[in-house]
Amino acid sequence: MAERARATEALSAGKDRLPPGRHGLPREFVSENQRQRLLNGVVEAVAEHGYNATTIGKITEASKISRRTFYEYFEGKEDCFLAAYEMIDDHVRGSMLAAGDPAASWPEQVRARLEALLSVLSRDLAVARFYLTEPLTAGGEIAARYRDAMQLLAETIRPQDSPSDLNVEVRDQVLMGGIATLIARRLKAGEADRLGELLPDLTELALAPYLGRAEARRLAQSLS
Amino acid sequence: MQYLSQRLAAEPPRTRNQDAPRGVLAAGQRERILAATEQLIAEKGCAGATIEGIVKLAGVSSVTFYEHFRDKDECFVAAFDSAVEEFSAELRAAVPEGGSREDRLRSGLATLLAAVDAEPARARLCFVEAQKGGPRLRARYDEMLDAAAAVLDDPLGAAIAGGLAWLLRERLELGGGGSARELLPEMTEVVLAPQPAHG
Repeated sequence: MAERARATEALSAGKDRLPPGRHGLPREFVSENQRQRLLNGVVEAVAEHGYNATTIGKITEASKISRRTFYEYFEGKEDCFLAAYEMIDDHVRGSMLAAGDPAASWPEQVRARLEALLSVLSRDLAVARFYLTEPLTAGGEIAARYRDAMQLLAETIRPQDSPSDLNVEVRDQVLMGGIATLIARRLKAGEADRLGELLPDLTELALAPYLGRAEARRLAQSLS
Repeated sequence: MQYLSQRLAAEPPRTRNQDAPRGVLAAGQRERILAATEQLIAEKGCAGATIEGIVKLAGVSSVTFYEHFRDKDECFVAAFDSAVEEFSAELRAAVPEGGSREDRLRSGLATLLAAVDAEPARARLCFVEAQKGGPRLRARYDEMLDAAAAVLDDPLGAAIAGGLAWLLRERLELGGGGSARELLPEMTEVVLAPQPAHG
């Protein structure tokens, strides 16, 4: 264990690290830089080892930051994971909400927002895994946070005037389960770069509960 | 060899019971271990279920455990496979061979949800905890979804099976006191995807 700790320390003294002492950089900058690197490190570590097998050692190793510094920013693995999750979730949902023409029809908006989702995730396999598949293997607060995130994603593609007699929550859950399953399969096959191919299927899934399968398929094909 | 009990298990078994043939005895032990594993995973999750806990609950020695399974992972996968097979057997018995796709899916869903309510620990293993297990268990879970997707016989079968499993997981994990059977109308709607009502 001591050797391992020394190895981690040695790694953390590598080139990626800011020079110690008087480097003339503002304190806030150094601090933000270290925190950002730890967030990047947790994404890398979780994507590679899975959430359960990720240790603080693996996070600090991936970010080339000392264990002691880690504890200056985070209480533990879960805390660090949640901070990175927050940042990615904001980015993903922000990209979806910004996509498409606000004046366009609901089906067109759905298509544009799903395209934005696939585009964000296809850019980075580690981020996609971290965001969409790994939280499923964890429990507790992470699972709860993931649940909230998926619910909010579903809300971005829900029709505004959805009939009130329908169990919208159940529909959202089935939809997010379907979307997550299809994306997870591609990620597992190492095909993050081909996520865009899923767009017609995802669009059909999202439209079907409200328009029926036949109309949903017709629109999904003609819009893509 | 990591544990002494593993080393001991590698020795040729002694005959302990003159009356029962060795095979019958071993099969009973294996069943007990699998049942205990199912129960313990449902209660404590894959990370919390230990071999120590399993053998205690099953009433067998750890030597016996290693006679049947190489390690915890192998035991978990066997328990999952056995649980899925139990559900499958109920479906095969209840769903008519002939009949329309709609009839088969309706009766299949009703049977599955009733079985989930009747066997909560088994359902929890299959639909909640397996996803949180090791890579082998997760791969088995994916295979179960693939098989379900094939039954659905739909171009979007993989997504629909994933969506239904998601819904079931939420119900089992968050509970809220409701039974799985309450999900039948929504699940049927999803699977049969009716056209919206006109007029």
